[in-house]
Amino acid sequence: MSWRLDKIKKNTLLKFTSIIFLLLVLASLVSVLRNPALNILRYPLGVLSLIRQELLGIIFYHRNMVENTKLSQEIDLLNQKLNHLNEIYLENKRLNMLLSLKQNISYKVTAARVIGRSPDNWSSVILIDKGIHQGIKVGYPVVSYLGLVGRITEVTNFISKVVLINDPHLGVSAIVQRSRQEGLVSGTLGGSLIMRYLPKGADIKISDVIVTSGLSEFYPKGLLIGTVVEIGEEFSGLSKYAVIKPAVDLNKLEEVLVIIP
Amino acid sequence: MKKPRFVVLIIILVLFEAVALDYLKLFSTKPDLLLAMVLIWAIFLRPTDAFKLGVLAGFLKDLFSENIFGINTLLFPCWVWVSLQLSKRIAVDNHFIRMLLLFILSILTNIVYRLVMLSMGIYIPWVISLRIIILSSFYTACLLPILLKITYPLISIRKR
Repeated sequence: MSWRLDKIKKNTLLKFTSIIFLLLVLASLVSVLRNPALNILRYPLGVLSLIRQELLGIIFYHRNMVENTKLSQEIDLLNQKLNHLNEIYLENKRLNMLLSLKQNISYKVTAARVIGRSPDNWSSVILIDKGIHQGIKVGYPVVSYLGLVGRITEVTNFISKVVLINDPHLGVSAIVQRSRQEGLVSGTLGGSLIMRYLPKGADIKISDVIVTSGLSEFYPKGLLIGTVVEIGEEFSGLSKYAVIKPAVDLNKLEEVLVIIP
Repeated sequence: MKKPRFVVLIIILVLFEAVALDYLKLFSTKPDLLLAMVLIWAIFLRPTDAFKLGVLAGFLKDLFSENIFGINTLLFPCWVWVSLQLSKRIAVDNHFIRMLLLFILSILTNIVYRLVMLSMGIYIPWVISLRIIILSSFYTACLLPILLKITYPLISIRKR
Protein backbone atom coordinates (compact mmCIF):
# COMPACT_ATOMS: atom_id res chain seq x y z
CA MET A 1 0.00 0.00 0.00
CA SER A 2 2.70 2.46 1.05
CA TRP A 3 4.74 1.43 -2.01
CA ARG A 4 1.75 2.42 -4.20
CA LEU A 5 1.37 5.76 -2.42
CA ASP A 6 5.06 6.42 -2.90
CA LYS A 7 4.72 5.68 -6.61
CA ILE A 8 1.74 8.05 -6.93
CA LYS A 9 3.65 10.76 -5.06
CA LYS A 10 6.68 10.23 -7.31
CA ASN A 11 4.51 10.44 -10.42
CA THR A 12 2.86 13.66 -9.22
CA LEU A 13 6.24 15.17 -8.41
CA LEU A 14 7.57 14.16 -11.82
CA LYS A 15 4.54 15.70 -13.56
CA PHE A 16 4.81 18.89 -11.50
CA THR A 17 8.54 19.22 -12.24
CA SER A 18 8.07 18.65 -15.96
CA ILE A 19 5.24 21.26 -16.09
CA ILE A 20 7.41 23.83 -14.30
CA PHE A 21 10.31 23.02 -16.64
CA LEU A 22 8.06 23.37 -19.69
CA LEU A 23 6.74 26.72 -18.42
CA LEU A 24 10.26 28.01 -17.80
CA VAL A 25 11.29 27.00 -21.33
CA LEU A 26 8.20 28.71 -22.75
CA ALA A 27 8.84 31.87 -20.73
CA SER A 28 12.43 32.03 -21.92
CA LEU A 29 11.21 31.61 -25.51
CA VAL A 30 8.99 34.71 -25.27
CA SER A 31 11.75 37.04 -26.47
CA VAL A 32 12.55 34.75 -29.43
CA LEU A 33 8.91 34.38 -30.48
CA ARG A 34 8.13 38.10 -30.13
CA ASN A 35 9.36 39.06 -33.59
CA PRO A 36 7.24 36.65 -35.68
CA ALA A 37 4.18 37.04 -33.43
CA LEU A 38 4.25 40.84 -33.57
CA ASN A 39 4.72 40.74 -37.35
CA ILE A 40 1.60 38.60 -37.69
CA LEU A 41 -0.39 40.93 -35.43
CA ARG A 42 0.61 44.13 -37.22
CA TYR A 43 -2.22 43.95 -39.80
CA PRO A 44 -5.13 43.62 -37.34
CA LEU A 45 -3.45 46.19 -35.08
CA GLY A 46 -3.11 48.66 -37.96
CA VAL A 47 -6.73 48.19 -39.03
CA LEU A 48 -8.05 48.50 -35.48
CA SER A 49 -6.06 51.66 -34.78
CA LEU A 50 -7.40 53.19 -38.01
CA ILE A 51 -10.99 52.33 -37.02
CA ARG A 52 -10.38 53.82 -33.57
CA GLN A 53 -8.98 57.02 -35.10
CA GLU A 54 -11.98 57.39 -37.45
CA LEU A 55 -14.46 56.73 -34.64
CA LEU A 56 -12.79 59.31 -32.42
CA GLY A 57 -12.92 61.81 -35.31
CA ILE A 58 -16.69 61.32 -35.57
CA ILE A 59 -17.34 61.34 -31.82
CA PHE A 60 -15.27 64.45 -31.14
CA TYR A 61 -16.22 66.34 -34.32
CA HIS A 62 -17.33 69.54 -32.57
CA ARG A 63 -14.38 69.62 -30.20
CA ASN A 64 -12.01 69.13 -33.14
CA MET A 65 -13.69 71.96 -35.07
CA VAL A 66 -13.26 74.42 -32.18
CA GLU A 67 -9.69 73.23 -31.66
CA ASN A 68 -8.98 73.65 -35.37
CA THR A 69 -10.08 77.31 -35.32
CA LYS A 70 -7.97 77.96 -32.22
CA LEU A 71 -4.94 76.23 -33.74
CA SER A 72 -5.26 78.18 -36.98
CA GLN A 73 -4.99 81.40 -34.99
CA GLU A 74 -2.01 80.02 -33.11
CA ILE A 75 -0.33 79.05 -36.39
CA ASP A 76 -0.58 82.65 -37.63
CA LEU A 77 1.02 83.86 -34.44
CA LEU A 78 3.72 81.21 -34.54
CA ASN A 79 4.49 81.97 -38.18
CA GLN A 80 5.31 85.52 -37.18
CA LYS A 81 7.56 84.25 -34.41
CA LEU A 82 9.17 81.76 -36.77
CA ASN A 83 10.11 84.51 -39.19
CA HIS A 84 11.73 86.39 -36.35
CA LEU A 85 13.54 83.25 -35.16
CA ASN A 86 14.72 82.49 -38.69
CA GLU A 87 16.44 85.83 -38.70
CA ILE A 88 18.12 85.00 -35.40
CA TYR A 89 19.06 81.54 -36.68
CA LEU A 90 20.73 82.96 -39.77
CA GLU A 91 22.57 85.47 -37.66
CA ASN A 92 23.66 82.70 -35.29
CA LYS A 93 24.84 80.59 -38.21
CA ARG A 94 26.93 83.42 -39.55
CA LEU A 95 28.47 84.03 -36.15
CA ASN A 96 29.18 80.32 -35.67
CA MET A 97 30.92 80.20 -39.00
CA LEU A 98 32.95 83.15 -37.93
CA LEU A 99 33.95 81.26 -34.79
CA SER A 100 34.68 78.13 -36.89
CA LEU A 101 32.36 75.96 -34.79
CA LYS A 102 31.34 72.75 -36.40
CA GLN A 103 27.65 72.10 -36.05
CA ASN A 104 26.53 68.54 -35.99
CA ILE A 105 22.79 68.66 -35.50
CA SER A 106 21.51 67.27 -38.77
CA TYR A 107 19.24 64.37 -37.98
CA LYS A 108 17.03 62.33 -40.22
CA VAL A 109 13.57 61.64 -38.85
CA THR A 110 10.98 59.06 -39.78
CA ALA A 111 7.31 59.60 -38.99
CA ALA A 112 5.44 56.63 -37.50
CA ARG A 113 1.90 55.91 -36.42
CA VAL A 114 1.07 54.55 -32.95
CA ILE A 115 -0.73 51.22 -33.42
CA GLY A 116 -0.79 49.77 -29.92
CA ARG A 117 -0.03 50.19 -26.24
CA SER A 118 1.09 47.90 -23.44
CA PRO A 119 -1.89 46.31 -21.70
CA ASP A 120 -0.36 46.14 -18.24
CA ASN A 121 -0.18 48.81 -15.58
CA TRP A 122 3.50 48.40 -14.80
CA SER A 123 5.02 49.58 -18.05
CA SER A 124 4.41 52.43 -20.44
CA VAL A 125 5.04 51.19 -23.94
CA ILE A 126 3.72 51.99 -27.41
CA LEU A 127 4.00 50.07 -30.67
CA ILE A 128 4.73 51.98 -33.86
CA ASP A 129 4.24 50.86 -37.46
CA LYS A 130 7.87 51.23 -38.53
CA GLY A 131 10.67 48.70 -38.08
CA ILE A 132 13.94 47.36 -39.44
CA HIS A 133 12.73 47.79 -43.04
CA GLN A 134 12.37 51.55 -42.48
CA GLY A 135 15.85 51.82 -40.95
CA ILE A 136 14.81 51.80 -37.29
CA LYS A 137 17.23 50.33 -34.77
CA VAL A 138 17.21 49.70 -31.03
CA GLY A 139 18.19 52.75 -29.01
CA TYR A 140 16.91 55.40 -31.42
CA PRO A 141 15.16 58.31 -29.66
CA VAL A 142 11.51 59.01 -30.38
CA VAL A 143 10.06 62.53 -30.25
CA SER A 144 6.88 64.39 -31.09
CA TYR A 145 6.69 68.00 -32.24
CA LEU A 146 6.39 68.98 -28.54
CA GLY A 147 9.36 67.10 -27.13
CA LEU A 148 10.91 63.79 -26.10
CA VAL A 149 8.62 60.76 -26.14
CA GLY A 150 10.89 57.78 -25.44
CA ARG A 151 13.30 55.28 -26.91
CA ILE A 152 13.12 52.24 -29.18
CA THR A 153 13.77 49.05 -27.20
CA GLU A 154 12.70 46.33 -29.60
CA VAL A 155 12.51 46.20 -33.37
CA THR A 156 10.88 43.69 -35.68
CA ASN A 157 10.67 43.93 -39.46
CA PHE A 158 7.66 46.26 -39.50
CA ILE A 159 6.88 47.08 -35.85
CA SER A 160 8.94 48.72 -33.12
CA LYS A 161 8.40 48.95 -29.41
CA VAL A 162 8.94 52.35 -27.80
CA VAL A 163 9.39 52.72 -24.04
CA LEU A 164 7.92 56.08 -23.05
CA ILE A 165 9.69 58.52 -20.75
CA ASN A 166 7.12 57.93 -17.98
CA ASP A 167 8.15 54.27 -17.79
CA PRO A 168 10.34 53.56 -14.76
CA HIS A 169 12.57 51.27 -16.88
CA LEU A 170 13.88 54.33 -18.72
CA GLY A 171 16.32 56.95 -17.44
CA VAL A 172 17.25 60.10 -19.35
CA SER A 173 20.23 62.25 -18.56
CA ALA A 174 18.87 65.80 -18.39
CA ILE A 175 19.77 69.37 -17.49
CA VAL A 176 17.90 72.41 -16.27
CA GLN A 177 17.91 74.74 -19.30
CA ARG A 178 18.41 77.89 -17.21
CA SER A 179 21.12 76.80 -14.76
CA ARG A 180 22.59 73.78 -16.67
CA GLN A 181 22.14 71.66 -13.49
CA GLU A 182 22.39 67.95 -14.33
CA GLY A 183 20.11 65.19 -13.13
CA LEU A 184 18.50 61.91 -14.16
CA VAL A 185 14.89 61.93 -15.30
CA SER A 186 12.89 58.74 -14.97
CA GLY A 187 9.24 57.78 -15.11
CA THR A 188 6.93 56.97 -12.25
CA LEU A 189 4.12 55.38 -14.29
CA GLY A 190 1.94 58.36 -13.42
CA GLY A 191 1.36 61.56 -15.33
CA SER A 192 4.62 63.11 -14.14
CA LEU A 193 8.34 62.38 -14.25
CA ILE A 194 10.94 62.64 -11.53
CA MET A 195 14.37 64.24 -11.79
CA ARG A 196 16.72 62.73 -9.24
CA TYR A 197 20.34 62.97 -8.08
CA LEU A 198 20.20 66.73 -7.78
CA PRO A 199 22.67 68.09 -5.20
CA LYS A 200 21.18 69.76 -2.10
CA GLY A 201 22.20 73.20 -3.32
CA ALA A 202 21.08 72.64 -6.91
CA ASP A 203 19.91 75.73 -8.79
CA ILE A 204 16.43 74.63 -9.79
CA LYS A 205 13.10 76.43 -9.53
CA ILE A 206 9.47 75.71 -10.28
CA SER A 207 8.65 76.35 -13.98
CA ASP A 208 12.24 75.64 -15.03
CA VAL A 209 12.50 73.90 -18.39
CA ILE A 210 14.21 70.51 -18.48
CA VAL A 211 15.99 69.34 -21.64
CA THR A 212 18.17 66.35 -22.55
CA SER A 213 21.83 66.86 -21.65
CA GLY A 214 23.32 64.99 -24.59
CA LEU A 215 25.62 63.13 -22.17
CA SER A 216 24.23 59.72 -23.05
CA GLU A 217 24.72 58.40 -26.56
CA PHE A 218 21.00 57.78 -27.04
CA TYR A 219 19.52 61.28 -26.93
CA PRO A 220 20.65 64.38 -28.81
CA LYS A 221 21.25 67.47 -26.70
CA GLY A 222 18.46 69.97 -26.11
CA LEU A 223 15.31 67.86 -26.62
CA LEU A 224 12.52 69.27 -24.49
CA ILE A 225 11.39 66.94 -21.68
CA GLY A 226 9.09 69.10 -19.58
CA THR A 227 8.78 71.74 -16.86
CA VAL A 228 9.37 71.54 -13.12
CA VAL A 229 6.17 71.57 -11.06
CA GLU A 230 7.45 70.56 -7.63
CA ILE A 231 10.76 70.38 -5.79
CA GLY A 232 11.41 68.21 -2.77
CA GLU A 233 14.17 66.73 -0.65
CA GLU A 234 15.08 63.04 -0.79
CA PHE A 235 14.42 60.96 2.33
CA SER A 236 18.16 60.77 3.04
CA GLY A 237 18.36 64.58 3.09
CA LEU A 238 21.48 64.46 0.93
CA SER A 239 19.91 65.37 -2.38
CA LYS A 240 16.89 66.99 -3.98
CA TYR A 241 14.38 65.74 -6.51
CA ALA A 242 12.09 67.59 -8.90
CA VAL A 243 8.73 66.52 -10.22
CA ILE A 244 8.41 67.28 -13.94
CA LYS A 245 5.33 67.66 -16.06
CA PRO A 246 6.16 66.15 -19.47
CA ALA A 247 5.87 68.48 -22.45
CA VAL A 248 4.19 65.70 -24.43
CA ASP A 249 0.82 64.26 -23.43
CA LEU A 250 1.91 60.64 -23.44
CA ASN A 251 -1.66 59.32 -23.21
CA LYS A 252 -2.73 60.93 -26.46
CA LEU A 253 0.08 60.01 -28.82
CA GLU A 254 -1.04 59.17 -32.34
CA GLU A 255 1.99 60.01 -34.46
CA VAL A 256 5.63 60.18 -33.45
CA LEU A 257 8.98 60.89 -35.07
CA VAL A 258 11.94 58.53 -34.78
CA ILE A 259 15.30 60.29 -34.89
CA ILE A 260 17.80 58.40 -37.04
CA PRO A 261 21.26 59.63 -36.10
CA MET B 1 -14.43 22.08 -25.85
CA LYS B 2 -14.58 24.58 -28.66
CA LYS B 3 -10.93 25.51 -28.34
CA PRO B 4 -10.46 27.50 -31.59
CA ARG B 5 -13.17 29.86 -30.38
CA PHE B 6 -11.21 30.56 -27.24
CA VAL B 7 -7.99 31.11 -29.17
CA VAL B 8 -9.83 33.65 -31.35
CA LEU B 9 -11.28 35.22 -28.19
CA ILE B 10 -7.78 35.55 -26.67
CA ILE B 11 -6.46 37.22 -29.82
CA ILE B 12 -9.44 39.62 -29.93
CA LEU B 13 -8.96 40.46 -26.24
CA VAL B 14 -5.22 41.02 -26.68
CA LEU B 15 -5.82 43.30 -29.69
CA PHE B 16 -8.53 45.14 -27.76
CA GLU B 17 -6.16 45.59 -24.80
CA ALA B 18 -3.41 46.90 -27.10
CA VAL B 19 -5.61 49.32 -29.04
CA ALA B 20 -8.50 50.45 -26.88
CA LEU B 21 -7.80 49.65 -23.24
CA ASP B 22 -6.60 53.22 -22.64
CA TYR B 23 -10.21 54.38 -23.01
CA LEU B 24 -11.23 52.16 -20.09
CA LYS B 25 -8.68 53.72 -17.76
CA LEU B 26 -9.94 54.57 -14.29
CA PHE B 27 -7.67 56.76 -12.13
CA SER B 28 -4.87 55.92 -14.60
CA THR B 29 -5.25 52.18 -14.06
CA LYS B 30 -6.29 49.57 -16.59
CA PRO B 31 -8.20 46.37 -15.89
CA ASP B 32 -6.57 43.02 -16.60
CA LEU B 33 -9.16 41.42 -18.88
CA LEU B 34 -6.94 38.48 -19.74
CA LEU B 35 -6.50 37.57 -16.08
CA ALA B 36 -10.28 37.67 -15.67
CA MET B 37 -10.59 35.31 -18.65
CA VAL B 38 -8.01 32.99 -17.13
CA LEU B 39 -10.17 32.67 -14.01
CA ILE B 40 -13.30 32.07 -16.09
CA TRP B 41 -11.52 29.28 -17.98
CA ALA B 42 -10.20 27.78 -14.75
CA ILE B 43 -13.74 27.63 -13.36
CA PHE B 44 -15.64 26.50 -16.44
CA LEU B 45 -13.24 24.51 -18.64
CA ARG B 46 -11.28 21.30 -18.27
CA PRO B 47 -8.03 21.87 -16.33
CA THR B 48 -5.77 20.96 -19.28
CA ASP B 49 -7.64 23.31 -21.64
CA ALA B 50 -7.62 26.12 -19.07
CA PHE B 51 -3.92 25.54 -18.54
CA LYS B 52 -3.10 25.70 -22.28
CA LEU B 53 -5.23 28.82 -22.78
CA GLY B 54 -3.56 30.40 -19.75
CA VAL B 55 -0.11 29.85 -21.27
CA LEU B 56 -1.25 31.32 -24.62
CA ALA B 57 -2.90 34.34 -22.96
CA GLY B 58 0.21 34.97 -20.85
CA PHE B 59 2.49 34.72 -23.87
CA LEU B 60 0.40 37.16 -25.92
CA LYS B 61 0.28 39.62 -23.03
CA ASP B 62 4.06 39.42 -22.67
CA LEU B 63 4.42 40.37 -26.35
CA PHE B 64 3.12 43.86 -25.67
CA SER B 65 4.68 44.47 -22.26
CA GLU B 66 8.13 45.68 -21.35
CA ASN B 67 9.22 42.61 -19.41
CA ILE B 68 12.59 40.96 -19.76
CA PHE B 69 11.19 37.58 -18.86
CA GLY B 70 7.87 35.99 -19.82
CA ILE B 71 6.34 36.75 -16.45
CA ASN B 72 2.71 36.36 -17.58
CA THR B 73 3.52 33.13 -19.43
CA LEU B 74 4.58 31.78 -16.05
CA LEU B 75 1.97 33.44 -13.86
CA PHE B 76 -1.25 32.74 -15.79
CA PRO B 77 -0.95 28.92 -15.71
CA CYS B 78 -0.01 29.19 -12.02
CA TRP B 79 -3.22 31.13 -11.37
CA VAL B 80 -5.18 28.45 -13.26
CA TRP B 81 -3.70 25.86 -10.89
CA VAL B 82 -4.41 28.02 -7.81
CA SER B 83 -8.02 28.59 -8.95
CA LEU B 84 -8.48 24.87 -9.54
CA GLN B 85 -7.17 23.99 -6.09
CA LEU B 86 -9.34 26.65 -4.47
CA SER B 87 -12.44 25.60 -6.39
CA LYS B 88 -12.04 22.11 -4.90
CA ARG B 89 -12.20 23.55 -1.40
CA ILE B 90 -14.67 26.42 -1.75
CA ALA B 91 -17.77 26.80 -3.87
CA VAL B 92 -17.16 29.33 -6.63
CA ASP B 93 -20.74 29.33 -7.84
CA ASN B 94 -21.67 32.96 -7.26
CA HIS B 95 -20.38 36.21 -8.66
CA PHE B 96 -19.24 37.63 -5.36
CA ILE B 97 -16.90 34.69 -4.58
CA ARG B 98 -15.54 34.73 -8.15
CA MET B 99 -14.93 38.47 -7.95
CA LEU B 100 -13.20 38.08 -4.60
CA LEU B 101 -11.00 35.33 -6.03
CA LEU B 102 -10.13 37.47 -9.05
CA PHE B 103 -9.39 40.44 -6.79
CA ILE B 104 -6.92 38.30 -4.80
CA LEU B 105 -5.30 36.87 -7.95
CA SER B 106 -4.97 40.35 -9.43
CA ILE B 107 -3.40 41.69 -6.23
CA LEU B 108 -0.94 38.78 -6.22
CA THR B 109 -0.06 39.41 -9.89
CA ASN B 110 0.56 43.09 -9.20
CA ILE B 111 2.65 42.29 -6.12
CA VAL B 112 4.80 39.90 -8.18
CA TYR B 113 5.27 42.65 -10.80
CA ARG B 114 6.26 45.15 -8.11
CA LEU B 115 8.71 42.72 -6.52
CA VAL B 116 10.31 41.92 -9.88
CA MET B 117 10.74 45.66 -10.50
CA LEU B 118 12.15 46.16 -7.01
CA SER B 119 14.66 43.36 -7.60
CA MET B 120 15.71 45.15 -10.80
CA GLY B 121 16.26 48.37 -8.83
CA ILE B 122 13.44 50.23 -10.55
CA TYR B 123 12.01 52.99 -8.39
CA ILE B 124 8.27 53.62 -8.29
CA PRO B 125 6.70 55.77 -5.55
CA TRP B 126 4.72 53.70 -3.05
CA VAL B 127 1.61 55.80 -3.55
CA ILE B 128 1.55 54.95 -7.26
CA SER B 129 2.34 51.29 -6.57
CA LEU B 130 -0.50 51.00 -4.06
CA ARG B 131 -2.88 52.79 -6.39
CA ILE B 132 -2.08 50.36 -9.20
CA ILE B 133 -2.19 47.27 -6.95
CA ILE B 134 -5.50 48.05 -5.27
CA LEU B 135 -7.43 50.03 -7.88
CA SER B 136 -6.57 47.91 -10.90
CA SER B 137 -7.37 44.71 -8.96
CA PHE B 138 -10.70 46.15 -7.83
CA TYR B 139 -11.48 47.36 -11.35
CA THR B 140 -10.60 43.96 -12.86
CA ALA B 141 -12.81 42.20 -10.31
CA CYS B 142 -15.73 44.54 -11.04
CA LEU B 143 -15.56 43.74 -14.76
CA LEU B 144 -15.76 39.97 -14.19
CA PRO B 145 -19.58 39.65 -14.28
CA ILE B 146 -19.71 41.64 -17.55
CA LEU B 147 -16.97 39.53 -19.13
CA LEU B 148 -18.67 36.37 -17.95
CA LYS B 149 -21.96 37.49 -19.44
CA ILE B 150 -20.30 38.25 -22.78
CA THR B 151 -18.28 35.04 -22.96
CA TYR B 152 -20.77 32.67 -21.35
CA PRO B 153 -22.29 31.51 -24.67
CA LEU B 154 -18.80 30.39 -25.71
CA ILE B 155 -18.17 28.35 -22.58
CA SER B 156 -19.05 24.72 -22.76
CA ILE B 157 -21.44 23.70 -19.98
CA ARG B 158 -19.81 20.28 -19.83
CA LYS B 159 -17.58 20.43 -16.77
CA ARG B 160 -14.43 18.56 -15.97
